[in-house]
Amino acid sequence: MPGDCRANPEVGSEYQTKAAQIYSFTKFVEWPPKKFPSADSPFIIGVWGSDEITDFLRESFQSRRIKDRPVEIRHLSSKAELGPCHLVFVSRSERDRLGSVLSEMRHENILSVGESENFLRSGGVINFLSVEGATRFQINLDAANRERLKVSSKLFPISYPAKGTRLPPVTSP
Amino acid sequence: MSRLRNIPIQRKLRFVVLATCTAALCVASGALFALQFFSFRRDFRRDLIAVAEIIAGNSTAAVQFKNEDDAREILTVLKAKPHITGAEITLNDNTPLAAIGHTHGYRDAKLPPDPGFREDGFDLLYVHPIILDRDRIGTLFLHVDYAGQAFRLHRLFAGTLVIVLGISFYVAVLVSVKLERVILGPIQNLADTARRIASKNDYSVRAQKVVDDEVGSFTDSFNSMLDQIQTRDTALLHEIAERRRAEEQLQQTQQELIDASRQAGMAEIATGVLHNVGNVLNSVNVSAALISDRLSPAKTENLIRATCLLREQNGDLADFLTNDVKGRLLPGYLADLSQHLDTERRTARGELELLTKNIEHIKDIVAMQQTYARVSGLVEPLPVDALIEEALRLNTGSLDRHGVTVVRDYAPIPPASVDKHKVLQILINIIRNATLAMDEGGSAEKRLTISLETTDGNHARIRIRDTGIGIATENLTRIFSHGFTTRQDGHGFGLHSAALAAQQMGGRLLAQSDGPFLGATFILDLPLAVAPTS
Repeated sequence: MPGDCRANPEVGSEYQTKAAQIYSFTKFVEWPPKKFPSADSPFIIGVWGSDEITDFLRESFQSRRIKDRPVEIRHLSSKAELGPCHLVFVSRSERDRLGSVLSEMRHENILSVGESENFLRSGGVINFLSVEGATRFQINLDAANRERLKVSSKLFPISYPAKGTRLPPVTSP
Repeated sequence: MSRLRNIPIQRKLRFVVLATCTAALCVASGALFALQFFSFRRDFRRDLIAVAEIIAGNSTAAVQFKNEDDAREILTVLKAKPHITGAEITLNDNTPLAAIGHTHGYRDAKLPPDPGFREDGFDLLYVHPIILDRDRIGTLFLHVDYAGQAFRLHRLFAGTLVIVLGISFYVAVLVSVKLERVILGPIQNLADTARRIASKNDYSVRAQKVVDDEVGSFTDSFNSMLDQIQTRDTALLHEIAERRRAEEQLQQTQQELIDASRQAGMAEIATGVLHNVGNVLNSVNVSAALISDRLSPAKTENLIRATCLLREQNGDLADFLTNDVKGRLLPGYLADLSQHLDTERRTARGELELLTKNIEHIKDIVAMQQTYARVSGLVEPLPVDALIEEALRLNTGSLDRHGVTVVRDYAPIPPASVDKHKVLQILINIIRNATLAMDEGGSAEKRLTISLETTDGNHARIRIRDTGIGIATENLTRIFSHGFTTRQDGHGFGLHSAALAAQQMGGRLLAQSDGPFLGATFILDLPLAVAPTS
């Protein structure tokens, strides 16, 4: 069980939630087709920094396919490994070194997911934050556009407002 | 339908138009209503599915991220749909994520429940899956007040239908009132014309042709029929006038014929009368000549000479009568002469009697002719006994002279419908015949018995019985034929004309006799004016 590896049960629960949400993000985000080299090339999720989440991700994506592709979860150790990834989780441990890793991922059509308060400012696309004890997320739409990622508008009402006020929920026409 | 037959055409027409309109409207409305019913049911479900799809689609992120607030917010949108009374989103493990309104906690044994409609009392429950990337991530429940919605809508629709029907009916009445004149006008016109003709018998009236349809051709036929009737009417009037004229002409001709025949009859009678009068006059002439011969002047001259001889003797008459040769012969001569004169007088007297008889006969013949001249008299109800009495009175002189006793035996009977002169003529004839018959022979006592009675209920019967010479059996019928007579001085007209007159009046004249010298009975039957009540 991944839980066995966890030092802190609370931290384990937090990453379990985040792993589940990361899986959910893949459902509401579209990558440009050229990002996939071939029809059967896998969907690659990379983890940068502390790898506490890796086991939960493995658990969450077990036997699941994303965009009808097999899923590969890699714990990245060098910046060169960032390029082929479709989604990269940048752990809290990299809070002070975000600039270099994010600049490395720029224009690589990578959905970057972080958990640091300065992540979006540094050019990340989605950032987790804790609101009244619950795990919520914020979206940097400019960054998503820059990376040519199509983020479903359905995510907007779910996301926590990035600029102070909350957006009205998207309703049927 | 039979009640419809007796009402005026106008109402029938209106009824037909309105019934047709209403039936068509009802069918159309019914079809619309059914269409509305089914389309409402279909649209309602479609609408519900569409709403569910939108809500489910919008709620994928909320379900995926298990965001209750967001899910509730999405469901709140449904408040705009008043017929959706409640909505709920559950996760695959049946954990409710968010709910609004009245939810009945519908739970299926199967998890997650099958999508689709479910009847839920008066409500309808729609179960819609929430699918993300082909994976079912939750379920949307929509509770719908279908019955109430349908009822309200159908009530509205039915109300509209009733109003539309009412307005349509009203409009149909207005249109029908305007349009029915097109049909009814000409028919009314025709009916008025027919009524006018029927009430006034004026066939010169014509119906005005207003339209050129069947009624128009009917009007034409009607008018041509009227033409024919009028033509026939006129022809008939002409014919009637013609016939009347012909009738008048016929009557005139008949009158002329009657006159001619009467004149001819009178001429015939006159011929007979003159003939008989001539015969009798011959006898009269013979008698007169005989008298004239017998009264020869020679004897009278001898008497005058003898008288002169006696006057010449001047007082010496005795000597003359005794001594003179002539004187001695004179008394014997005078005696012979007076004897002779007496014989002559007697002969002349006999001839004179005969002469008188013949003249009386002529008088009778002339009287007969006068009677014939009054042949067509007035038929009137008259008392028969009075007529008999009048006939007797006219014969009084003759009856007295011949010493005839008259016996009357009258029964009281009603008046007879007769011509007075004809009856008198018959009776006078019979009475005179009886008188003469009793002169000729038979019983010594001359008795004339006249009785009056009714016979067979319709006739008066007069019996005149004499005690005269009687009638031979072979003559009983012949006495009535023209010109037959048993008397030397008879002319054979009396009984013949009497029998004829009796027949003309609807009666008859019969004769009965037991034989010669046994008397005769004449029976005259005359029709009664009114049959006596039995």
